[in-house]
Amino acid sequence: MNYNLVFIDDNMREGLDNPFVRSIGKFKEDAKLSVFVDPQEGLNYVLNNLNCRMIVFLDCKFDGYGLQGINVLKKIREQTSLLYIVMMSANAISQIAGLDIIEMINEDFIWFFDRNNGTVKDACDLIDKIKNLWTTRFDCVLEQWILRHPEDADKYAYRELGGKSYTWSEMLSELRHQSAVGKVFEGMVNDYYIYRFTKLEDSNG
Amino acid sequence: MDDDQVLKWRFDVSTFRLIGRDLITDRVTALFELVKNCYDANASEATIIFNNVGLDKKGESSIYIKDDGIGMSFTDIKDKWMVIGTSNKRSNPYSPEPFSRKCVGEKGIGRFAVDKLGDKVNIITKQKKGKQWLNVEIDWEAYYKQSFESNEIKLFTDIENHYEYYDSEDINEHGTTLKITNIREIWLENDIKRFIEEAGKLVSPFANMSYPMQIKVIAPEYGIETIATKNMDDVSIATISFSLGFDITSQTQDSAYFDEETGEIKIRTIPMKSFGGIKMKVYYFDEAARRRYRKEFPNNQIDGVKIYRDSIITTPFAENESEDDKKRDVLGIDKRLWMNIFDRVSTREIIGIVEITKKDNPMIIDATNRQDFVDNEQYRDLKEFIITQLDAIEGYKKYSRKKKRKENSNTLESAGQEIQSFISSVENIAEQNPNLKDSLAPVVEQAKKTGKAVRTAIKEKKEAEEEFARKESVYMSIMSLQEYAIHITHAVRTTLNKIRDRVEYFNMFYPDPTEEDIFKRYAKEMYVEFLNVNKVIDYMLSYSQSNIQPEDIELDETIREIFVEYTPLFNSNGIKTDLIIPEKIMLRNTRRQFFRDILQNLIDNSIKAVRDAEQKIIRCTVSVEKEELIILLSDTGNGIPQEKRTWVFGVYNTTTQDQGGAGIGLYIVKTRVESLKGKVFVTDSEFGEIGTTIRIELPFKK
Repeated sequence: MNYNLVFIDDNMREGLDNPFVRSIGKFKEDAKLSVFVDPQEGLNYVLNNLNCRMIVFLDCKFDGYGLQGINVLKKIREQTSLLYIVMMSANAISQIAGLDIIEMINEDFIWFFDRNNGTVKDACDLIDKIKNLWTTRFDCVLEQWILRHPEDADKYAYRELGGKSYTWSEMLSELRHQSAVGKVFEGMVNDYYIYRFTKLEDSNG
Repeated sequence: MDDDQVLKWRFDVSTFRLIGRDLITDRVTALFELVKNCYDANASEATIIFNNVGLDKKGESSIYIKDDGIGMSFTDIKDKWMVIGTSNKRSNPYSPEPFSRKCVGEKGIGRFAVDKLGDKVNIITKQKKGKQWLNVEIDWEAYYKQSFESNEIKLFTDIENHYEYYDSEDINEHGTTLKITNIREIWLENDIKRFIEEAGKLVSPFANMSYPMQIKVIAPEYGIETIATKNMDDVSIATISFSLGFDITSQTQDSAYFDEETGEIKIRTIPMKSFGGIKMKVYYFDEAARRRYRKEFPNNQIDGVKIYRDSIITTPFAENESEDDKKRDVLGIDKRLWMNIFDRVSTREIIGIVEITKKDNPMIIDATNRQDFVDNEQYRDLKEFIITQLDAIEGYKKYSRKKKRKENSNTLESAGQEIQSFISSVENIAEQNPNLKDSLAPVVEQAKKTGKAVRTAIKEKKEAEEEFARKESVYMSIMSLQEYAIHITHAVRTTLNKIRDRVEYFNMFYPDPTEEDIFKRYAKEMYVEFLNVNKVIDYMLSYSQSNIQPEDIELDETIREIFVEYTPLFNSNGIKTDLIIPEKIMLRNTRRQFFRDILQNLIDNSIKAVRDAEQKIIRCTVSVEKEELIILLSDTGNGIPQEKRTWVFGVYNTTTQDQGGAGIGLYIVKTRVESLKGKVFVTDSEFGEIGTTIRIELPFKK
């Protein structure tokens, strides 16, 4: 299962040679690693790659940068709520501004990694936990399907009333971006299968 | 769909009241809204009479709001007053000529205000030349009762209100009286005083008022009969004051600053700010002036800066808290107090009038909850501008405190000297007239005793002053340390984490011949990080060494040392340096650590400032002019705006918050320079239009 691990932290100036990143890379060989020191560059990368499976390790405090971790989080959430984000901090939680904590808690798919006490193993456990969630998520299931059946990728999955048509791979991108059509489609598919199973149950019974 | 099958909206009586209660939360505000209506109706006088509104009622409770405004016609009542949500005033923002007042009650909530005050209202009104007075009665309690008793929904629009006409004795009389009865809440003396205070602020005395409105408040049960409105003379008892204006053609704004040379507040012009031009008048009251003010205006408090739009108060609005610490401080003036209790001005010491207009300041917008303005860039700039003006007063406060202290000790010292010369004169007389010696002896004795007492007093005073200065310095350093501790712990922790990550890597993967280079690299990096921790800890410890013994230092060497220490940081940030020290500079009996603190903080700031600059240069020039040592530290960074040149030296004031600036650096620089009996200020950049130059002047003898 290939996926991206993105680290955005102003203290990781060594890039991929940063020992924390390097250690994780050794344990997670199926992951593609990227490191960004500048939060804006990291944000750009994440937003340009929303159609990939991704876990973002995001530092809370950036010394000397306009953007702070919480701003990057908000900017990502403006585009998608599906991305898993692990907030990291070298400060004790009690030193983080209360409002920032509230904003973090109120977001979906967010995790916290304590950089002072958390080990590489803890970080890897967190990654495994997140990966387990992927197996059940609709966008991830669809991605797996397309990987196994590449011939289906360009087949039409959905046509808007009098509007645009979407292939399965296009729809995957819409889902990851949490676009209006992506959300509608996901809801419809869920409804459809509940309906199908209910009717099936009825006809069997 | 069939056209004849339609449904209509309806709403019941209680809905009206619910809306009203949400709109107006406080009865003083409600009454204030009604007085605003008098103003909009071109009244010259509004009289508010409270009858039996207290706890101890002796008859029917009522509030009269009586004005000599233009009055209302039957059509006005029918088509405007009785229509909820009428926007009449919005399309006609000015009251009729010749008054042409900017209307205040724009939001049309006067009707709800009446309901907040009492259950029943009579509107008695007449226009000029009208033959009869119109009296409309609105009794909410009765309607409410009806709908409750009939047990069916009583629709708001079905309610019938009775009216009658009666003849007028004088055809030229005009105006409106609201007689509100069945007063819903008790009004204590303090509530009425609060209303008087708020009503006094309805219209700015600073405005050029061709048609003023006088507000008279009468409450017989409390013996109140007073004029609430103020004029400019009422605030002339201030210690100092200054006025600021602006110029549309040259797009400039006045801004105040304190000139330490002359000990005066001066005005300079700065480019107009994002919020547009404003007029501002600030009155500062020292302790004696505050006493005078309290005596003269027992109903009034000195209560900070008010913003008036088109001559009408906007903030902090009429709703307020009786408790001081709950009082709204929308401009954040008092929030800054804890930062420096000695010199910051509080809202209890100043009256400020800020004049804005819809025309010149369109982006300062009332918030819908009527408690503040909409938080946008322009309003934030306006708040910052106002606070910057207060820095001038803070400068004055500090200056006066020092001056007073000096004057006091001078008086004592000269008294001491006078006693001494008195004793020698008397002793002279005694010598020249030996026969007087015995009779003068007790006088001399007494004078000597007094002289001794004065000397003791001088000594005690000096000790007390030193003690105060010591406490002040401890207090200040504790406050800065608090903020400092957070930054330092973050720095130490980050460095420790870097070391920990590398140690962990060794622990997990060593040995591995294929990774030999990485292991070597991590070992080196750990060593560097260790040095970093040491540096941070040294810096922290320099605080505890502030009182180290004075020594002779070679300043040129000290500065070179510091620049050498910074070389790795300069290199990693791509910064070029330029160090110009033409001669050897020997300083006697001074404190090396102070110079280190000054230079380090200035360099740290410059590094932050040049981060995004195209050309990154930090330049330090040291020269001797007459009896002064001049140190200039310049950078090619983003510069400090003219109006913040004084402000940046205040504790926690920073222009580089986004780059992690905590606003402590320049404060330390200033306190250190001052303790070396020097001066520090921001001057025009050596690099011309870009960058910043900080100039330090220290007394120096070759």
